[in-house]
Amino acid sequence: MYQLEEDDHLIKAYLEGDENAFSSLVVRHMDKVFSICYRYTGNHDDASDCAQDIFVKVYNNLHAFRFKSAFSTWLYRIVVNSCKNYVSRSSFRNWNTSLSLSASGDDTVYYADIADSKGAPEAVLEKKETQNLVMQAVLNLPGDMKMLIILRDFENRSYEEITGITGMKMGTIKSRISRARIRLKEMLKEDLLDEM
Amino acid sequence: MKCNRVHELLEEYARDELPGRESSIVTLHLETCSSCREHYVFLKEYLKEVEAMPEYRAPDNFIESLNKRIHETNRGFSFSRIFDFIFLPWKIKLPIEAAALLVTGIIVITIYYPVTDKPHIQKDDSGGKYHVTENMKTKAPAISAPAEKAEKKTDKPQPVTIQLALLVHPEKQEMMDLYSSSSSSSRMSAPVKRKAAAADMQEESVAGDKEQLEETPRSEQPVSPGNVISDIKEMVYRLEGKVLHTQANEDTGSADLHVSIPSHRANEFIRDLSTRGTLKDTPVMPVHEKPAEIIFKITIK
Repeated sequence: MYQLEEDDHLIKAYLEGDENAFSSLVVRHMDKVFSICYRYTGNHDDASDCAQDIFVKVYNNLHAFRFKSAFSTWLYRIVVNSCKNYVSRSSFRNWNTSLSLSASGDDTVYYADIADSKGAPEAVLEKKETQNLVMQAVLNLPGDMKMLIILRDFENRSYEEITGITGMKMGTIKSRISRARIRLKEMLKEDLLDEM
Repeated sequence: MKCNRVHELLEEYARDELPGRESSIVTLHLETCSSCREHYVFLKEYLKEVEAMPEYRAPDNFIESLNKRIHETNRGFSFSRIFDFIFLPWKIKLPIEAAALLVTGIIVITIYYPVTDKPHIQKDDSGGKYHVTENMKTKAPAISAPAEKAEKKTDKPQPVTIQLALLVHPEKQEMMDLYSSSSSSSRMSAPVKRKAAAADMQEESVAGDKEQLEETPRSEQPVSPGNVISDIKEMVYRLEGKVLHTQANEDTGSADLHVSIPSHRANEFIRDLSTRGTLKDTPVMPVHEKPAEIIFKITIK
């Protein structure tokens, strides 16, 4: 609730002419938005580009926000559509997916190639590789399934929130997520179940 | 409970978020279904990996780059925005735009190249009658020579053919002799006389007796198909017509004569012809058509 009130307060301040309010709004949500874009595109530069596109759209359309839903729901709706359109646009050009993972192991994420992790413990490397495989498997899912898995499994959105973001019925969401996990299992079962 | 339904509940079951009753049902199902059990094991491991994944953060210069982009975007147009506006989402916009282009193309083609040849029918303002105007297609640019030829062809009226049966009486022949001797030679001009003589020489031969020459007075000529034919020929040449065909049968006393008369002299020809005999039926002259010439097919009996 505090977050909701904070968002509404910042939006109203921006609509009244306070440009700094918009910057504050961006700071509050940019990590989440970037994270979704990164998990969807699999590429750091594409994720940054896509996230900036999203906030440009927010900037240009914030005057149309009616406060009928939470700002995060409205924002995530833009994120979902923008990610799909971004990938559609990118399909006309060649684009490579590459993942870069942190080698440092602390909470702050740095984007470095796995080759830079020389000297790190083998278990850590193995862990990173497994996570890499999971990310790759998610990237290989079809667009709709991929977004639902990102929102549910990685962003921990409830089914009700996902309904508000995507406009799909709850039964449809659950069914698609279930089928997406079956696909992930087919791609990952040898790698994940061997670790047990 | 079916496996599909169990799969949908497994995630919440793994997180202990499922209500008691449903949780019991899922537990019982997992005890009996190895496929779902395997899926449950995978799901737990998968969720564990997902939870262990780091949070991704935006680059440090994200705000600066964003402000720069907002400033540039709102300053002028960008191809990227135009591309997005026109084509995205492509699954919705492309079919609609393709359909709109197709419809526009069909409309343009229909306007400039209409399919039908039917003329336009318009109602006359004065009497409520309908009259037919030119078809738009004929107004479209076309090769002029064939169009002009077609026009000329349709303008030129076709000749009309009229069948006549002429019954010749000896008494009438006498009266005709009196009539023709006084007037025929004076009426016939010199060129006509020469033309008649030349035409006579070129005409098909008559079955039976030879044609009589003009020098022989008419009153001395016997009443025969040949004589009647020659009289009619004189009329034709006088009226600036043409003799197309002659055939006389002395045995039956009948003859066939086909002549072409200019339409403006046709009535005169009929009047002259009726002095040679009795016309069986009154010929019906064309009213609406205005042919250049009328062909008379005369049967003389």
